[in-house]
Amino acid sequence: MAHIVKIQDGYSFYVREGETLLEVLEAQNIQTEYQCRQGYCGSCQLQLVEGQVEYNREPPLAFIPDGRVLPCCCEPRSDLVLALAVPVPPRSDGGAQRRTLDEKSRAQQDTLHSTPAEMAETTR
Amino acid sequence: MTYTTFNRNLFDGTAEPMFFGQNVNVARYDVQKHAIFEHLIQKQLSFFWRPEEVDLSCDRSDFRNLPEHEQHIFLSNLKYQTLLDSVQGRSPNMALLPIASLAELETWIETWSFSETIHSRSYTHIMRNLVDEPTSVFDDIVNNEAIVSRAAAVTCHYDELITGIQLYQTLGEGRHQLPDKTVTVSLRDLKKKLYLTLVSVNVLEAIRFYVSFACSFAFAERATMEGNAKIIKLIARDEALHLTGTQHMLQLMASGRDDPEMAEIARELKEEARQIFVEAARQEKEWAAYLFRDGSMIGLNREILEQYVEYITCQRMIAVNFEPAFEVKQNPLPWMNSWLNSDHVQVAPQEVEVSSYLVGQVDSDVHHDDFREFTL
Ligand code: FES
Ligand SMILES: [Fe+2]
Ligand SMILES: [Fe+2]
Repeated sequence: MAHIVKIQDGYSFYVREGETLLEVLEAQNIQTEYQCRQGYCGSCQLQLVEGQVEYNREPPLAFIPDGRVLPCCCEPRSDLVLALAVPVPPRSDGGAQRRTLDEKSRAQQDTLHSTPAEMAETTR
Repeated sequence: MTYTTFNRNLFDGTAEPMFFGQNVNVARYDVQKHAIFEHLIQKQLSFFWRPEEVDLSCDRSDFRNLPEHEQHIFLSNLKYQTLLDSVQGRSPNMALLPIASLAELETWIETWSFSETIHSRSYTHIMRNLVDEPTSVFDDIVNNEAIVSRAAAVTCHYDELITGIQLYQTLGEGRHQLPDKTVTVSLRDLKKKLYLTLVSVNVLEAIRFYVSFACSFAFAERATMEGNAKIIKLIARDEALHLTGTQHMLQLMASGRDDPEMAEIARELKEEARQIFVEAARQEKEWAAYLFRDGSMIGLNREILEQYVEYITCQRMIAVNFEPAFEVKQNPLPWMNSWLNSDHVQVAPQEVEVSSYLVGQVDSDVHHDDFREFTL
């Protein structure tokens, strides 16, 4: 039976067999961090509140603090509850990107290509 | 405590602590106290690359076409990276090798530091390609005040530790009269210096370098200076491994599993160590002000880089169990992840699989069946 991942104080979703936890979160448009996706940099680490995961290849090289997991190289082995550092709604594409632009270039960018929704995002 | 290059004592190497135990004798890797260092060595070896394999021919004209204030950002960032890797190419060897007591740790330190010399060599490769007169750029690393003040912060812990070890290894513990002053040498004090040095190395590789990567990739994000970004991707892959190595050392110390006295020291120095993170974040923000003093670039400005400094500082503090210094927020540069990821860096065509493990590729088991088709 497919496992369920629940984001603490958030919503839940099913996991497809064979996907890493990172892929599962990405498929949900949850902004997750990563660098190596191979278990040696540690940047993807998340807090696991409840449940079990299994590391799929050789044991990861990155240091894993107690209570944390490396989603890039593990798969859920039970239903999970995860706590995100920053509780976020699903990312609206482009929204995150736009926040990296400074005022001047943002103005340029807006005149180049923006949808009304993106305009709302930048002026918020 | 005099250093010896080949310890004549027969002892169980796996019973030694990481640092300040016996000097290592036989460089053997079949038994390990901390297997993590052996794995890091293997991984680092599998990452081997050479800067000359990356084609930079487009970067020269890209650079000429940058407005002057963006050339300032690019070159200053490159100078800062050059400084950091000049330090890293020698300091782990100078500071840590004389006190390392495990063969696998000793070799990890050498492998780590060697990879830093490749980073330094790539800056020369990049610089040669960009400017006709690299000397003036390199000289500025020693002359420019904004960079020199970085250098002081980056090297002070290393230098203190190195001086302390030299005294310890020549004079031993106790009070000693030197020509110009009296010094007190104590092992506990040296262990404290070691702990703080490792924290500052982690700050250097896991924070300072990542801030500089953000600047490098901000250019590539706009499809300019892309050859440079390819090199930086390879450097970032190495740095990810280095910071993992240092995080392991810090955690092994804090846990007391390696040397109980180190666990005490880690507790005692927690606040001082935390301040190294806080202070580095402040300095990096100051640096951001210098970078963007003549104007922002498309996609990156002073405020956003400062937000990234806070973001990455929090990430790294959490990773070593420190209370984060700033409010934990979302990554302000979400495009960094895909640039930092090196899965698709192609160096030379024959080296497509640069990031894979190279160990165990030769199957040395021979079975009777293998000779089935042989006739004599
Ligand atoms: S992305 Fe590097 S450890 Fe997960
Ligand atoms: Fe480096
Ligand atoms: Fe490094």
